[in-house]
Amino acid sequence: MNPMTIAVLGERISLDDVRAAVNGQAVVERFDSAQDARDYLRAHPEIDIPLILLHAECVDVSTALPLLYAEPRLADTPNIVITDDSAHHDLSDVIDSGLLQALILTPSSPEIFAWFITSDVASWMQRRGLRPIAVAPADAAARDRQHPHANLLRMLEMNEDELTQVFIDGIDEALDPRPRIFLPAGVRLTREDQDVEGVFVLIQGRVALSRVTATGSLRLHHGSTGRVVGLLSLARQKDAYFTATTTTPCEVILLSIEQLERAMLLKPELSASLAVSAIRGLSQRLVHSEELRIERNELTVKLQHEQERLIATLDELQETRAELVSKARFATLGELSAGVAHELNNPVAALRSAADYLGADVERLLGSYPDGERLAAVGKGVMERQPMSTSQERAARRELERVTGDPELAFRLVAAGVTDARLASSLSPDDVSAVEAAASIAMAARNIGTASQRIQDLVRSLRSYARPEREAASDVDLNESLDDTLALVAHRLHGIEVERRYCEHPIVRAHPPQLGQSWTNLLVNAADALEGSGKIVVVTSRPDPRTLRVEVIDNGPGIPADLTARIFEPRFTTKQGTVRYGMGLGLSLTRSLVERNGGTIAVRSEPGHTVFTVELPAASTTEDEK
Amino acid sequence: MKLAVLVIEDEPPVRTALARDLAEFAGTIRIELAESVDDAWEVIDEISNDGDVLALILSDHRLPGASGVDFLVSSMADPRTRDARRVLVTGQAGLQDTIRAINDGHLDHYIAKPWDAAELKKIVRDQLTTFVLDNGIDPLIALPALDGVRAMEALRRSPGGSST
Repeated sequence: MNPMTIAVLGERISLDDVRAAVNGQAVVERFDSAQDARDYLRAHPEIDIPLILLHAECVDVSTALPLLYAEPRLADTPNIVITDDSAHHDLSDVIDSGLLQALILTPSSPEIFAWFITSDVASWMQRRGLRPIAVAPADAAARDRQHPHANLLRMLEMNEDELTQVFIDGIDEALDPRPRIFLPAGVRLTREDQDVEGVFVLIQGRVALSRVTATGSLRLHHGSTGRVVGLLSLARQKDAYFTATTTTPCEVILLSIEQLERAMLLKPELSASLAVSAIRGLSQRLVHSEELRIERNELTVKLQHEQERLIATLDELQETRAELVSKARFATLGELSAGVAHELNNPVAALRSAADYLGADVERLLGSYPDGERLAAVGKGVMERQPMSTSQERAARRELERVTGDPELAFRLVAAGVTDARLASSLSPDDVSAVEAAASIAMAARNIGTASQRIQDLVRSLRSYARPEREAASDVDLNESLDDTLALVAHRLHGIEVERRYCEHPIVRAHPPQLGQSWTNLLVNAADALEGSGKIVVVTSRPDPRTLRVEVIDNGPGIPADLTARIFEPRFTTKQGTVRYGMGLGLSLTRSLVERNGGTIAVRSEPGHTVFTVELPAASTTEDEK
Repeated sequence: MKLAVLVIEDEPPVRTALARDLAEFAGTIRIELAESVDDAWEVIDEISNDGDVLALILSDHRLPGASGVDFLVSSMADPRTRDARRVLVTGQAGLQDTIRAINDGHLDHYIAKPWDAAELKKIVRDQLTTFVLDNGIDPLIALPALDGVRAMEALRRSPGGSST
């Protein structure tokens, strides 16, 4: 055991009183300052300090205590601060940092002071495992010890089994030994909302508490039960708040309220152990309810995360659904177009040959008329002449107006394609009318021919585009495939200049409708990016004998770098909330279509220059053809 | 002074068809055909240089370069074209374009392609009549091209004839 030194700071503390209290079992040293005390400790490594005494009138407690306890050797040393003031406002820091342990008024007698000192030193020694010095008797303290309530603090330090034993011993002693009751698991000791007529003292086993709530039965922790079951209900005017049920085989004592009252009357110290048991139970429940609250908060946070995830999933689902609907619509449209294209073939063919026959018949008919030769020549001229611009037509009309003096006739002649002023001026009014009619018929026949040719081209494009998916792969000329698509999406390319740079014989083995759909997506995409003005360049090339390359280049604003990486992902769309035909659906679909035909797709983009590159394996026959 | 109708249409067969349908007005009204918006402005220069008045615009929407709706909107800023009646003859104007034509291009009528010749002539007649009455022009200068009933009624209400 090291020599002990009690440290005293402050002249107002009588060293003699302190020495008398410890009766020579410890040295008492006075220090002028906290620093002095630490210097002393450093000079005497063998010394233990079991107590520090400070006088608040002589030392600034709020600076001295932090300085002292900065010394690790003082970590478990108690302190007593002595003061003359009955009220202090300057101790918040030391209380907050947990450094102030006791504050007493200047003791009225050396005896009480001695009790304070010796009880602290004795506790310190006990904690160190040393045989404690005798605690000086003090009148008040001695008297308190006789009172049963003084046991309360001591009992609080006992463990549960010790406490139960004390309680049971006391009961047995007061009321004669109590019979033990042995119960299996599943026996209800108290019932929710029913009178509690007595308490059960649990000697062995476990009991759980539960209460029916709106969301079902809530089971509380086993540990929150306490050893005296029903005790807390007594405090609630006897209605049990919980149902207490044994969960293991139990050994209990049953005490009626009257028996409990009588036992406490006979042995007053029982009330202390009962109170301790109640405090234990309450504090356990309190801790448990705090744990539940924390758990609830965690659950709430988790729930929020789940909710957010759900919302995100729902959004994704909705987008996917829109995508599916869009795909389904496209498929239907494809079937429909194939049907319509097929059905249109016949009437268009009829129209086309009708136009041809009409031209030939009119020519024949005119030839049979007097003056028919001239009319036939006019009609032939109209059929074969190069189209004029509207400003050329206006000039011709002015000239005809001047020659004929008839604005309506001039207008009709020009509309019918007759612009030869010399011819018009050489005709009589009747002849002019006949010429106009002949020219008009010829013009109509020509227009029918042009229009039906255009319809036929469109139908052909549509058929190759909308050919059924299940059809086998065939040799496809990329240039023709691109031209077909360009014709079909012409309405989306309005205001946009389209340049084509094609290589020769770009034949691939592929499914024509899938290629067509890919080109559609790329072209519509580019058109969307250009927003109605700009230029699209479509290039086919053969970078090596086995590969054919299609590039669709636009001079639009470009795709931000962070988006190019994601642009082929399903569901990607630059316009939030809407799955559009071009963006989003288009590019992921395009990639899968290109890959299905053994190709690859890539994009590179900078402002003013975006290039989508599709590479497809060249058909093996192309080499032989060359 | 003559009233003028300006037709803007880029496809020659369609333009010819429109011209044939409107030919019966050509004796009374100056009918001008343009194949693009640029060409249309050239026509407008010619009309105003000749001292004639543009009364009606019939425009396609899909044209090379600027669209028909673009033209209708920009024509609101020119005093030579501002008062003219405006009709869109198109198969392809979307909802947005049509809204813009009505709100910013003061569209008076919309004809969907393919059109009916009789219907087209009636609309042209109606619009020309409205133009004449709204602008206090003497209906007599274009009577054969106007809606006879409305024109005569206007003439009766102002027995001295209206001033131009």
